[in-house]
Amino acid sequence: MKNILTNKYSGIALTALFGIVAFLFWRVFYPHALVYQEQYQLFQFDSSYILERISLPGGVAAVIAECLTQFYNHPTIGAIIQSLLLVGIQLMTWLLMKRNGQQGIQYISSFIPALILWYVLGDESVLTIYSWSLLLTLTAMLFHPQSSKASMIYTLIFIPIIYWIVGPLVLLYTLFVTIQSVKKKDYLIGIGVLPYAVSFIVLSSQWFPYPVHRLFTGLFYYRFVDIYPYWLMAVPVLCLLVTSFRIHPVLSIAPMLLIPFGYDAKKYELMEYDYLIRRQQWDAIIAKAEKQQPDMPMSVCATNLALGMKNQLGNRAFRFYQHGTEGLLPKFERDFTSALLTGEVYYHLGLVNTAQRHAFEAMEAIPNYNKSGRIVKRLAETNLINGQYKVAEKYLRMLEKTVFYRTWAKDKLQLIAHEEQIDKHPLYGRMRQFRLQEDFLFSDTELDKIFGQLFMHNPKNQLAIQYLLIHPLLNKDIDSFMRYLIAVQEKVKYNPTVCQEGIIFAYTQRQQTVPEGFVNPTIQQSFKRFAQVYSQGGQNSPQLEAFKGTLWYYLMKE
Amino acid sequence: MILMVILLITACTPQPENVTDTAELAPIYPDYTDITIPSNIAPLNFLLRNEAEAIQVTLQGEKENWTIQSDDAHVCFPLKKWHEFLKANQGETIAVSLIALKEGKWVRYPSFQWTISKDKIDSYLSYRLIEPAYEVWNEVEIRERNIENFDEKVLSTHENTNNACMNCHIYGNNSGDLSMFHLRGPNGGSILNRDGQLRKLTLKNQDMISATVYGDFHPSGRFGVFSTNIIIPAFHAFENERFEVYDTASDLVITDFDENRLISSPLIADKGTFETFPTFSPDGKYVYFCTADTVALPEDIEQLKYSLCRIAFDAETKQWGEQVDTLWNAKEMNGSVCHPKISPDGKYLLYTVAAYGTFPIWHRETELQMMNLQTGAIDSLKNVNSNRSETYHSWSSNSRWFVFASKRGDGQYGKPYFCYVDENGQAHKPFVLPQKHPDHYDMTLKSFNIPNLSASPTPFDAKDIGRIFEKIPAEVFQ
Repeated sequence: MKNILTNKYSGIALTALFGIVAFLFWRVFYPHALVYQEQYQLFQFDSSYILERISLPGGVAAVIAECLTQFYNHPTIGAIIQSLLLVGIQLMTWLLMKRNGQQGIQYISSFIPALILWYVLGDESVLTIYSWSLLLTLTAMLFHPQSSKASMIYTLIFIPIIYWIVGPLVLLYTLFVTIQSVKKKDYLIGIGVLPYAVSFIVLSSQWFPYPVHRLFTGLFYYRFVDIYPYWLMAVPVLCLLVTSFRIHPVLSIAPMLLIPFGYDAKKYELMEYDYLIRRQQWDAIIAKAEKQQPDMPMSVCATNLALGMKNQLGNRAFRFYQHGTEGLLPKFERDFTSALLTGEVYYHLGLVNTAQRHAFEAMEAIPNYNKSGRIVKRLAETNLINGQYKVAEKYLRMLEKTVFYRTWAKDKLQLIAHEEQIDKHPLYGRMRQFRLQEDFLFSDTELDKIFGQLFMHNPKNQLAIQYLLIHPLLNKDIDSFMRYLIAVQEKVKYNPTVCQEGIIFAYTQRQQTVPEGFVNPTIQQSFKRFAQVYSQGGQNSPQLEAFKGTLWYYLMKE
Repeated sequence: MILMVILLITACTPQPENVTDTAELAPIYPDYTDITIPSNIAPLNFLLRNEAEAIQVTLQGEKENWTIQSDDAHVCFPLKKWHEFLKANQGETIAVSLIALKEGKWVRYPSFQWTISKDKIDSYLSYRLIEPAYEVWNEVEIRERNIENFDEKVLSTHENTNNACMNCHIYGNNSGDLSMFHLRGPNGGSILNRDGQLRKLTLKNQDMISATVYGDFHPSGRFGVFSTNIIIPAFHAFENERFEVYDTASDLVITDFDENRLISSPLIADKGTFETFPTFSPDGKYVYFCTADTVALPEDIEQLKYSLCRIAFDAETKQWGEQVDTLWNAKEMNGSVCHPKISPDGKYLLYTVAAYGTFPIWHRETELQMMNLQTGAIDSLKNVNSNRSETYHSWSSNSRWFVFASKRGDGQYGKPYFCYVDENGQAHKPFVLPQKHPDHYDMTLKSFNIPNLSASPTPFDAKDIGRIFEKIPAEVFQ
């Protein structure tokens, strides 16, 4: 191993392998994690946007990182950037190690900070700005001069500059200088540099409208401004240890083993559902749900929406896990992820105002006060549909200043105030037809009535029909279901499997015979067997499992 | 060298030649055409919405002319020269003529007028900057702008107050030495500034339905009058409607800031009626407020209409009066009154009228009206109102100017507009608060909320508020 690593090319090969694995990790397994990072920011090529950022400590790194993060919208480019970033940190670590006389097998140790960062990035709230700030700090450390005099001048001048560029990660640089100076018995710099940097940060609180603790924890590193995960410090501390002291290469195995634990499966499952909804990949959502039953309100909601969009909800709703009406439309929460998802359902239903509210609230709830490209796009759409052209234009002009939304925004700007074109637009025109024409105050305790209004207003609204009929069934309210079904069938021909299961259940409950033609014979036979099993073995009969996926099973067992 | 630089700059700015006249009005934004302005206002920077490549603007006064040039579609006047020009021309009407280069051709637009009033406007304007959200908010700030230039001070920021909601910054007697706003949530309280001394107050006792909400100062500065409201948000489903807020209960209370007392009256604590938006008359002898009979909510919200009433207050005895007079009857007028504000000279009462309810900011039909308190005549302020909501107004100390928040334009983002009221009580065409960058309102996602005028600046800033928020316990009121 030692011989292998003394070879000039073996290090390059190892780094290349590291980069390839990182690329595959992000591109193949976690593309949704990359898109998630992009969708909660809106980088604009606009002088006031950039100036506002770079006027703050860490703002330069923020601008660089946000500029690059917008490319995460395209997962392949995002994965390349993300893997190059990790490779960059590893290489910088190695160059610093090399400068301190480390060589050969120690090359393996240079992966430790990058591997730990990879693990840390499993927390989706750690922003890419943090990684870029780290890379820039390591670069600054590399350029730190060796001689005492130059070191002192460089430190005095560059600490404020580095603070301005990367924020409080300047303290990593400061500690590095301290260690290097003490090693060289240059105690003046060694002792003086840390108080110099700290006092600079403290003093800066006089200029910036932030409490001192925010300036010490970083304005741009973590999505939640009121929370700071102190374990984020693990990466710079390891950078310091690895670059300043000899660390046994075997220790790099530990962070490698840690990585899978950084990526919470449930959290990333929801992120993937959200990603698929954003891209309207309904079949992919259904396929994912078929592979592994969704069991959280948000994933159930996504699955039901996908089934509804493919007009399958009436046939297959109960083949998937259901747990009440929350799985159709989760209650509004002041949370940026759930409000975004719920807003998608309202949008496709044609409740444009409610979709707009959820989009607006989701953006307001983004913890670091960022804007979101995805949400601004949705707000432009809802305002176009609602004929609020001046507001729509305001949002479209913002999107015009971005890389990924520019073409879309320019295209939509052509629609402004052109009623006829919007009416003819395949999506916006349909939405206008779905919109309710009478005002009412929205209530999420009367969703079935709202679905009913949507259907009565436009019987072609397939999603509204499906939600109207599934809603009472999820509530186990057979009487309402029958009432709604009669109203639906008066206007459209709609009698999928779940409805037939509901009809036979309702008639049996009332001890009446099902009128001919309403329920197909197979379902009638199946229900007979279900009734038999249930009457003989009760709710706990193991034979009931054979009816899993039917409405009856949900009504009697769940 | 200097000469070379000047020559270089001049060379870069195209000079008008072969100018042709057009009858089309100049597409200037903000709309600063044919307005009356105070002689102490900041430069009215504007832009042309026609992608002009260069502009020449000439201000033609009685005593002097002033020409400035721009090599793009933005016109920004230098501050010092602007004020010199206004000072030299105050009391006059000046013509503003515009020549613009567009698609290689110079075009002269019909000129418009600026009447420079000798009546100055109060120099400081406070407002809350907030996105026009529904229930969730972030990055809320209260700022104070010097409207003679573009300086702005942050009075309170979310960064120093744990993202707490903050609202209703009001001045007393149009003075920065007397002001107040509420900070909500844990560590919150009403922040009172009297002569720079900051206090945090809990303006609620066990008999009150909520902490204080909308309010005003007594001219003595010793008292305040506030509403207490149980506020419910609701959301419209229809395309052009957005947000509704209504009260399920509301009362009024007077606060004594010297004795830490809350003074209520059974006359305005009736459970069968709502009372809100109180304000003192300039002599402090009356409280004007809005009141409505309760209705079933939310189903009958369109029947919820507030009348304008007043009740006496004796500052000596600290007693409410015993009779409520109605000045504007909601049933007769078929509308709902909000935000009454009396001019400091006591002549005019300015208020908003919406179709129904108590949250006119999201009612696009909301309009300002002005009642002459001496004659009772009502001015519907036709040349002030737009087809969007106009609310949250405040008078300048000389009673010749008022500011209001208007959602004209895009209908969503509120902006402060100033309006001149001449000696005959005639209101002139309003204009928006000028900004350093004329496209500021295009770019910002913030609404200017509750603009309030003051003749002097407040003596505190966001750091003081952060300190009082974190470290000072709120005083209790009985």
